[in-house]
Amino acid sequence: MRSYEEELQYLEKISPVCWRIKKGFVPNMNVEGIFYVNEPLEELMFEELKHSVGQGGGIGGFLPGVRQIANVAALPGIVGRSIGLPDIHSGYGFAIGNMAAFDVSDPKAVVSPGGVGFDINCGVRLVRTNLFEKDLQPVKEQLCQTLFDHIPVGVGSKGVIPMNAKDLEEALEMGMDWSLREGYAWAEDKEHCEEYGRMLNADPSKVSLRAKKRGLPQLGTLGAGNHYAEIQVVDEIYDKFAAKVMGLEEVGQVVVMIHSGSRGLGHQVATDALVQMEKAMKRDKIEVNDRQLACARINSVEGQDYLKGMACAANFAWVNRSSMTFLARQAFAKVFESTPDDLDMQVIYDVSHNIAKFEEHIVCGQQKTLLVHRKGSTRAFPPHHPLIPVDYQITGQPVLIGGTMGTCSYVLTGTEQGMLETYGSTCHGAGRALSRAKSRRNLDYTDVLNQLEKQGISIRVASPKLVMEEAPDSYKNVTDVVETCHAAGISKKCVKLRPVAVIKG
Amino acid sequence: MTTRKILAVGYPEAKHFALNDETKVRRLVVWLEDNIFNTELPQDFLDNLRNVSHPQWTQLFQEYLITCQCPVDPVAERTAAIDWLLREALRLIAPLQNGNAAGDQAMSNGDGQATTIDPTSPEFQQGVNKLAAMLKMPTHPDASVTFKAVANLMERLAGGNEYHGSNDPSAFQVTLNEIALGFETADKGLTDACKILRLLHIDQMRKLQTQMDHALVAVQSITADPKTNSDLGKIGF
Repeated sequence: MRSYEEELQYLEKISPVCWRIKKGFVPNMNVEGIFYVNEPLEELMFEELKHSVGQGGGIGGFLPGVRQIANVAALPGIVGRSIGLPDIHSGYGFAIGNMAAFDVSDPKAVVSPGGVGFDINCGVRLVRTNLFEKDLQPVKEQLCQTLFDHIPVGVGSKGVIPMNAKDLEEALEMGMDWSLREGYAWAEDKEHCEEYGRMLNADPSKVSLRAKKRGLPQLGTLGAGNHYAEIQVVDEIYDKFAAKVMGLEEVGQVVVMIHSGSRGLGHQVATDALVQMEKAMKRDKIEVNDRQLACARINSVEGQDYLKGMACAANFAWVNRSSMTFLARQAFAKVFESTPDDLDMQVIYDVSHNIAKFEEHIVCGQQKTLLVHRKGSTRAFPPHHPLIPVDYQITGQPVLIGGTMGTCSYVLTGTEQGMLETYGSTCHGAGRALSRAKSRRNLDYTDVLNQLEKQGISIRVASPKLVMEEAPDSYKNVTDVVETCHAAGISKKCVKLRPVAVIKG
Repeated sequence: MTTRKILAVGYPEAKHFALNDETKVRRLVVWLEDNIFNTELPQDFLDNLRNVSHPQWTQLFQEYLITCQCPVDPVAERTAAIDWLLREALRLIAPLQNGNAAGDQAMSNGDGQATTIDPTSPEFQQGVNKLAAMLKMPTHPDASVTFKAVANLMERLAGGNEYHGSNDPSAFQVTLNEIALGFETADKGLTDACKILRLLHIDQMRKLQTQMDHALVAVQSITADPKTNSDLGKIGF
């Protein structure tokens, strides 16, 4: 067992916001690791490592983030580096905020459900309006309540969009094309969605009956945990041109942010895959440093089945966010006695921050097809990338960073440097600082609600007693996270948003 | 297929046409010649061809097809020869029909040129240059290029209430220097030229995307029927 000081020998600061994890920090590292942190985040990161030394394991069953990045660097077929984003915190296998790419042409390269996360295609969608804060103030409470009435929230919530088993099969295969066909989405929504809202390799026959059963009643529901729908206003504009392209003209403009994922369906797809992969690991003799890093070769049956099932769950999440957009549009139209069209409720963008995708990247001067795992990490492609919508070709892809309840959120744009350094990836949100259990012990929910009221934020929650788990104090400061990404050049600040009403599980 | 082509060329007897009726086939050939092909064959030859009961009609028809450069043998493959004639006729009248269908501009690519205008004639050149001067546009030595540019500008000026997608490009005010090219060149002039090409390409892509959105909306008008049922809703704990 090494001492904390000995551990530090393997870590080297290579820029004011970037650290390198040298090979040897954990056994069998194929590549180095790096992580991006500014000073306040650095402190949290090292404190976590210090705590874990001598304990043998980590906190709450997870290893510290630094060690998790290094363990991922030891997975077969990884290329480049194992990358930790500023909002990194310990998760199942991979840390949340860890991005890793695997070379598809390497027969030993793997896919790991831990590198995607349990909430497959958890993501953020931002919808603009042509309203301003002054239009909102008189009806804020009413609007918040209407949204809460339209979009069911909480664990075990059920949606208001009728769906039968056949609809679900089609939705899993078609993603947002299903929403479009049925009339829940607008043609322009598809245009402004990562992957155009549909993973083409989806195969519903690879999704277990149990997963489908869990997903069926949950369409159009937010879920619980850190998921939310927020009414926000533009607080600050850093890049006027890019903001204008997104239709954000001035400070005070009202937008709606929806943060949700694939609900129980995605969770079940991941759980099912982990069982299969443990068998595949034994058969193919895949060695990993951490049992939670269960994985299978990309080209194995288990690997392919997982990717097809994961694509279905991703499609479900897009249908889910599209359905909630439909409901939010209805709520706004009702309160403002107008139509969503007249309120200009266009989707600015929809990002996924828990997903694995095949992408083309330049590795050591050569173009390669990589399987890019982004867990708690958002794709951030630069200007002129062929996979981003035509409207954002000049500005780069919009990156939506959801804050925590009561704190601000950000819109960033992708950069060339990010494409080179992190395979076009950046942070995803605030990132937890305290574990959920610890938050429950340290914070009182009435204090949290009072604090929000003081800030003038309306809130509707299904289970107030769980609010403190999601209190801003439980999270890292989202501004530190975004500033670090901006300083490192892996994405660029564009707009800051401030919440005025929140609905949560 | 042949029946549809006969309808498309506008043959008045299309409804009563039958491929196995020799007289009707002959009448169709004569109609095509008189109304569409108007070949410059000797008058007496054409008169004989017009006489559908002429004893040597088949031979005349064979000669006629040879002068039309038909690749199919009319004796061995009679139906194929008729089909070829109809295709040729459609090819001849297609540009004219496109010109008439100007109302359907949303999906047409605007290639339907008026074939009767000679772009090299001095009148045309003068007219186009005058138009360009009125619109304060630079001219190109090839008048048809200038004409295309004039048409593009007019279309944009006239399209005030046209669908522009979610972001109106005319609202941007940004200099070339603020736009990233994505790669480097040593020459500023070359860089600017590449940026302009990028912008033109993006403009084309936007148009294509708008057409796709229109197509999706058209399909939605048939398939879409969104429903909600608030009885199904349940808030969790």
